[in-house]
Amino acid sequence: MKLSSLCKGIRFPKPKYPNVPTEVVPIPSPSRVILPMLQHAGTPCVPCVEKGSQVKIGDVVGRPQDETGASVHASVSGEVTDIAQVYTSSGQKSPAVIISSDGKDTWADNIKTDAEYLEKAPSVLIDRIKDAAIMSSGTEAAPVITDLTLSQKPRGYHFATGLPIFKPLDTLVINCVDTEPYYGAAYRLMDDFFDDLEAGIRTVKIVTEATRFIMAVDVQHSVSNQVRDLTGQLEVAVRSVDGTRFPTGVHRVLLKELLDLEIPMPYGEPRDYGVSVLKVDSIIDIGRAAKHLKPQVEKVISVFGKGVHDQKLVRVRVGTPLKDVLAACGGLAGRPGKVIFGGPMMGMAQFDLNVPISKDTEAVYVQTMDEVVRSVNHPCINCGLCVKVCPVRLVPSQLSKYCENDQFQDAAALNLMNCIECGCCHYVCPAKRPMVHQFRYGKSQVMVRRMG
Amino acid sequence: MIDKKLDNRLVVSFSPHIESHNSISAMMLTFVIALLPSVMMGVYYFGYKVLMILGLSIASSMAAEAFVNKLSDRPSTIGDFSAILNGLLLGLLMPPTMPWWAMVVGSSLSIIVGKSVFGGYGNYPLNPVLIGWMIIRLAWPDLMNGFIEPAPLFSGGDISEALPPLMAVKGDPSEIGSYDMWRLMLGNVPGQIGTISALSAILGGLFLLYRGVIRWHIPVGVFLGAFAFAWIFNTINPDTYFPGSFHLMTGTLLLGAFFLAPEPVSSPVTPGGMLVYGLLIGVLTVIIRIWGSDTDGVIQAILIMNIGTPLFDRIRPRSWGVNTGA
Ligand code: SF4
Ligand code: SF4
Repeated sequence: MKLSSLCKGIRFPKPKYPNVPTEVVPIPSPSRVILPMLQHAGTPCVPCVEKGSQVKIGDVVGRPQDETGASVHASVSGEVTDIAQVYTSSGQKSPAVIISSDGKDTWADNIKTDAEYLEKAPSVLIDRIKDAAIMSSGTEAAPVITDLTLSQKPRGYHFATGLPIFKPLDTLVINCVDTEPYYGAAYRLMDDFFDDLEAGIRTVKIVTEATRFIMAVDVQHSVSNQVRDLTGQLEVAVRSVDGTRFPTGVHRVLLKELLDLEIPMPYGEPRDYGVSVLKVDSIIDIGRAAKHLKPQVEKVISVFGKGVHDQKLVRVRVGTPLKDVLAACGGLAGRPGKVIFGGPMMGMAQFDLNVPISKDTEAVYVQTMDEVVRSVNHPCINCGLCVKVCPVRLVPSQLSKYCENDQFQDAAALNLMNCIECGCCHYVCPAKRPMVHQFRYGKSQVMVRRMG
Repeated sequence: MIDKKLDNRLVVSFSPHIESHNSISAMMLTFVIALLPSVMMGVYYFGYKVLMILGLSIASSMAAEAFVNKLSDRPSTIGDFSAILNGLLLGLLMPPTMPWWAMVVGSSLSIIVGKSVFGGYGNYPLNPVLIGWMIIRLAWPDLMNGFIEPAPLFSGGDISEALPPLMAVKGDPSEIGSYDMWRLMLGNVPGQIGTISALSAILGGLFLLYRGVIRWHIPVGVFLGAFAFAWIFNTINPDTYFPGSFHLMTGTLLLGAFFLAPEPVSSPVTPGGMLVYGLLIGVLTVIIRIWGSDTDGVIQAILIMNIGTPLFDRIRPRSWGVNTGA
């Protein structure tokens, strides 16, 4: 292990929550789903159904306007009852198609299993992945297809023709580490959806030009024999990383651990370096899309925390309202405090339990009122702990002082934009400074100034 | 089940949603605990009277803090142990004969002038303990030299004046033979209450390192700077210049390296900055000891380097993708 990575991030204690779930349970099909047209960064889709239309699972209900988006598919069969404005899990307002389930869960007619998918041309498989509208989970929600295609940023220009030269994709990393400790979902998926995983890996091997495949697994969990055999057969190198150390599961930090690649924000992307990272659930969805032609209408999410009765790994339809998911987990326990999409370190707190599960939701974390922390924002005491833990090697204490005093340009000069908002600095800070909050505000201000 | 009323009562805030148990008061309490061995050695060699000095120092620090809190109409910061630590450290830097009135004045001024005028904990540029020390030192220089021969508890020895090792050897370099390592370790020498015993300072320092309250950069920097600089001159002329190990074991150096220099607020935050800061403190200490009028020099060196802290903080780690051509 490299010395530089030794002291970065935070080592979390073993999960202290009781009965950590070990199996994925499907929850009952919801009576109503809410499908926001905005489930990605970029322009929202346009609804292509009307109030009263009958839809089946897998029917397209919203079409993208440009490359940044992907179609929205119905995740239950039934009738479109409304097209209304709703709040999405990222707190934005977006039009949404609301479908009342008829309880039959019939799939659309064009969904059928293709046993010979491996013989198909790469372009056919790419179209299938595109049509399945799979969103990458992790930090930024973007269609996974962009991760499988070339970087848009030219490395240089051809000396004679002047045509741009792009860095080819040579390494593909399958991230089987939970984004945040305590999710416990990523490694279960490998075994529970083994067939789809196999199909997914075989498909990406066909559609990308990558020559090196790496599967990053968490040292805490042992890889089962069938997965080991599969990776051996398909020449995927299995590498263990320390998943108890947050934020190892975040794509950029994982690349630093695995390949010693430092990708600056916000303009750098793994693809610019010829590397692509896909979460294991995206691979599984790719497998389903290629083999069964199924769009992404389901998510496996981990519901955990003291504020929920039964901690579970649940398999839910995209668009299920949060309160149905919580009800399937026994409801809220104690006095509810925060309901968070994501985990304790990087999640988004929700104000409304009608918010639907979206394609990039990985977990729901529920806190009781007693657990809710209240930042005090004492002046920084220069202890330097934040500098010690920051995974991208920033000086958070200094940045936070700049952001507090509206010196955004100074903060940007110290690479504020590189911050991945992991929250480690706030976590360790003895003065409890709300640094991530300040950095988000600072970043938005820098962006506004750069554009305007 | 989820009822409609509770729906509206969720807390919404930015991430992260959990915080470590680390807090300012926990850090300060760790410092106080780490000082206990030094307090015990002080009591053992100089008698119960030192407890009175320490108690007075702590009490006046806290009183001054409470007074300023009241005056500036701010929430009370008595509970965060920083005033207690301030008083305790200042008391430990005093010779055992310090009169009570000087202690009270020095300790309360250290809080008022060194800390509160800048806006309280977290805002001051210089270590307030050292400001308090400097005030007493400038106002009553004689009191600062009231050193006595140590008399272990229950031995019933008389109180007789004596010179601490650094002063003694400055007058007569041949004296150095009378201080063997073990004696300096335990602290059976004249000196300030808390600085006589090297062993207790090391124990406290290791505890701080273990708890992660301080990091190795500053202490190691100080030791390295002092030792290397002293070693150069000792190699040139062993008769006039003392070996590095003697410099490390005497005076305030160990207490300074573990408790005064890494004091969070006035020390740098970046690893590189901390190392350079520590090195310069070490070098400057030895310079003062060799050529300066003061025989100890640690406190002056730390104060001077405190001023440079914002500069040391410019030695930043290289962030991702910066200057790599990406
Ligand atoms: S500055 Fe940003 S990247 Fe660094 S620890 Fe804080 S939130 Fe994480
Ligand atoms: S952890 Fe908090 S108190 Fe310590 S240096 Fe960073 S911002 Fe300041």
